[in-house]
Amino acid sequence: MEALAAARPRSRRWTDVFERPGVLASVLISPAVVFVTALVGGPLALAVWLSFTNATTGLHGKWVGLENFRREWGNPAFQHAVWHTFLFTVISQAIVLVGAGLIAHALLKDFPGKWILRFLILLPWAAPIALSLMAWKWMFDTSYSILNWTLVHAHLYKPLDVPQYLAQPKLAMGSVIAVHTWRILPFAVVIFLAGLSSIPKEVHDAAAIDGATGFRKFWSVTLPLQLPIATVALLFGIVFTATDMAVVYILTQGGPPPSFSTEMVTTWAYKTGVESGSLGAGASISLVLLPVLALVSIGMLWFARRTEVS
Amino acid sequence: MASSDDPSRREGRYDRRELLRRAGVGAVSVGVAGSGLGQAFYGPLRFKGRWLKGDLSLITWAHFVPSFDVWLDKTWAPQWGEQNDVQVKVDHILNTLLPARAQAEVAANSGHDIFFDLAPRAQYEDNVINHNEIVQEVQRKVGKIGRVAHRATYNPKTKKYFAFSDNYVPDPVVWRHDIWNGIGMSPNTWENVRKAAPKLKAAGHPLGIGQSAELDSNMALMGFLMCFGSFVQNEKHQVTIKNKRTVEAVKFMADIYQRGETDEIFGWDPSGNNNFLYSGKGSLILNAISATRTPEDRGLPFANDLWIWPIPRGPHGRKGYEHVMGCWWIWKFSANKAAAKKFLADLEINYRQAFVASKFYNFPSFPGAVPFKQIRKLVAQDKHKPLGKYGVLTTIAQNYTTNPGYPGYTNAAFGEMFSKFVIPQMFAQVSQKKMSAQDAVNAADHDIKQIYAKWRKLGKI
Repeated sequence: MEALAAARPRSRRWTDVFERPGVLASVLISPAVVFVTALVGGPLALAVWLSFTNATTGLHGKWVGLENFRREWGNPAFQHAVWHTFLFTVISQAIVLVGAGLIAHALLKDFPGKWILRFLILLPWAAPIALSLMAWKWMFDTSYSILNWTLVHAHLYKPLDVPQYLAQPKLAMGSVIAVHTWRILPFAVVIFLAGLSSIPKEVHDAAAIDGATGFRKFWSVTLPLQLPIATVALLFGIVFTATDMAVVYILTQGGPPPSFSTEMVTTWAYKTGVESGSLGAGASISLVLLPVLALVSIGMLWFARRTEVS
Repeated sequence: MASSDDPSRREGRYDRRELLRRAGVGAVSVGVAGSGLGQAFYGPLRFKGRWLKGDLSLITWAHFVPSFDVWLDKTWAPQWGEQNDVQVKVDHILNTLLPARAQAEVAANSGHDIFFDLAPRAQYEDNVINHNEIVQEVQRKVGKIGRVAHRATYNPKTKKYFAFSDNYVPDPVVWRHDIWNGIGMSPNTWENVRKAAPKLKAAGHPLGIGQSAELDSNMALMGFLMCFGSFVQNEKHQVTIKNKRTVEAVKFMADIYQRGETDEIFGWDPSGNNNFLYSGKGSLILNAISATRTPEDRGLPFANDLWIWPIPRGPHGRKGYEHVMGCWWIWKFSANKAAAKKFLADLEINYRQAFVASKFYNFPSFPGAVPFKQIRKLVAQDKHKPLGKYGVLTTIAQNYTTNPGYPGYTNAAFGEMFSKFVIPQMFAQVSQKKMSAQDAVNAADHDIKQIYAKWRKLGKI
């Protein structure tokens, strides 16, 4: 008992250490820091290193400085990939932004079947991406498309003149944008819904008393209050879209020609680094997005902070 | 504070002495039992009273002819393992996932002992053993390695076999006899194909020669180029694509597209042309015999009307690549290289079983493993109509099949050019009227030369 009593002050001292906010915060955050460092920082550092080497396979190569970047910068295939990534991101996010806004507003109102509709809208986000993309691939298939079957049987098209969703450049880009939008829309809807729900009822009441209704209320009240959270949704959407590879790779593999109309930075990096055995060059291509997305993120977070209404 | 001597606290608990005693008895029991049942104590199974010499893991594709995988997994691998006291584990993945898997295994410096892919991957030369020993062993038993396999897996510059090829797949033209017969023509020459193109399309059955970013388009178009006397590289591995013959070939194919194909040829993956044929719409594709085996297995109404012939003759004769080049390699990090080498050598030495299990899809890379005379006899026993249709495969294999990169050797630069689909791109630019034939050839020449320069600098060609 005496020994126990003697030990008490020591254990108290340990507790005291953890009572200090700086220490406790560091201890609590350290697993996350270790996790991020190991799973994000490590591979990122490796990719940066590889991009300055002539590594073909494996993780070793000779230092070549900026040669990989220089060669890709002048490569038309890379230039096309950058342009396609830009189009893919901007168009799909514009659609997502407008679509999510409209759907979120509609879902805020009470109507019969609202919860089923919410569930259906969320389904694309919850479904395994590989499965849903295979379904889309068959819907767009050159020989077995259900869409084309319908068009032919409705006598709108002749069998050999049907739209080739994955084989005609503009249609192929449209198809990958449509599928990606379908996939990412639920996420934006959820964020928008959260944003709309967080607007206090008093604000709406005050706006109504002031005579603001319809578009006027949306423009002057709802939109400014929703802007910070919409910006965050947009930021996530941009990052998810610009770095996505699954949709394009499964649907078109970067095709169709000419200029591989849906080739993105991600698919081009994969083809160069993994399929062609030029890991150094592939790493340099994949890193192109990093500073761009970092700048976009900083800019949008700054904007979101500025538009916050206290 | 309650004491540990308190009987109410001792129930169901052991003191230190009791715990040690029981643990000791347990350990002795397990030891005695383990020494009596070696497997229980040491883990792995044993065959014929001998201890295992180790494990062997291999990864390969999910074969287009599923009966081959059944034979490999359930017959060959277990039987070979039993005879050699090795536990063999076979993994299968989709063929398109193999390149990424190979890169991952190299980066991690661990993975399967033996890796398989459908094409020679010269870029891994530094990561794999020299397979010369296996080639020599098989040559001692069944005779010389075939020309196609040798040129696809050997680097003459470094004198190294960077892979071991067990099989290659002849690449015929598959065509609907009933439809072609309806217009009174056959795809014997490329000129005939061009003439037939508008009639076939008008009959609702267009041609299906792909111009997409995928394997089959690559193979078909490079074979087509060779029929026109154009080659990507020469014997010295210098880029030779820029010439009048290529320009002529590209114009010719654009004409075929405009007369007798639809836009779908630009949007295919490797199964695209197969599905095009299976839908009943297509009148001709260039593909391996998996394209005829599937309709036979599914009992499609036109299965008996699918004929296979050698690639049509062009101004410079007939020449095509193999459709698939089965290549195995043993990583340097492989833990059981001895077993891996023996596995591959034995597989090839006994290739008759594999050939039959693949339904004549896999032709042996060492012709002596299943001589052409034997192949003709085996193929003649096939009951599918028209009877004897698979006999032509031996003619294609013997006379018209070359390695990727012919007349040179397959190398890393050719591999990168292949993976980036430069050739389908060149053809499509002209077919879609986005570029003139000369400009498209110039652009392809520029791209290919850049790729070759890089690999030459690395000392691999």
